[in-house]
Amino acid sequence: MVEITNFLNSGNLINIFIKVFSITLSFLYFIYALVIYNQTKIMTKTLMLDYKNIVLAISYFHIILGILLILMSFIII
Amino acid sequence: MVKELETSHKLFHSFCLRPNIHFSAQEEGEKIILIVRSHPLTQLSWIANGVILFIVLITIDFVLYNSTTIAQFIMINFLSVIMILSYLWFNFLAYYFNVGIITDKRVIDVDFNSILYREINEAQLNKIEDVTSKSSGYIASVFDYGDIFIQTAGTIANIELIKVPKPTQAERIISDMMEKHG
Repeated sequence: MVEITNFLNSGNLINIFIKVFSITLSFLYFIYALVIYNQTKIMTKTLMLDYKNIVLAISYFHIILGILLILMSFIII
Repeated sequence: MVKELETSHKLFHSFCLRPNIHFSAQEEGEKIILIVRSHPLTQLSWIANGVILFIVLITIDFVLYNSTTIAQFIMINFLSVIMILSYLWFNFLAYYFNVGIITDKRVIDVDFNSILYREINEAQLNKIEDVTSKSSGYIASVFDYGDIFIQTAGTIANIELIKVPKPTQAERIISDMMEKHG
């Protein structure tokens, strides 16, 4: 009982919560970014624009950010 | 009137006359006369949401700064900023690729309403029975935007172009094209 109380008071619970929260959200974001990228590909195929590559690059950048988030959530915190 | 139209991109590309754009189902020799999107003013809600979310994040930062470690603080902020930017980007895509296309042969309505939802309706000009435009409300009247309803014959789905700029002018262009096609 004392150990549990010490654990709760030490702030480790909050640290674990933030870590789990970050990892879960990072994975969800990564999946979301993949879906958005595929959707953007469909959109640019439907309506062909001059600056299609810029639009696709921004969506692709979100995937890279998703990977970066996952790495950060595992390594940094 | 259609012949007189020159290439122009008005209101942040929401009313493009004779644009240099192509679409996937475009036929050989088919020319785009007009591309319409929702009026930019109707997009203010998600832009405002983004700004509010940034303000909320900055406010929360004042509380978090003293109660988390630097690493946690950076992670929470990085995650939040990316999610807000992604929200804004997705809404921009939904705005930019939801278009009504009026060509010299047909009218096409492309809808990307949510993730992985795509709906494309089209009506040949000779199958269109009636075109009406409606502009209701103070803001819509002041900034000249409204809805265009295109009624088609038979079982072909009707087309609705919602909150587009200059609905009367767009309606006139469609009517002219219909007359041209008998």
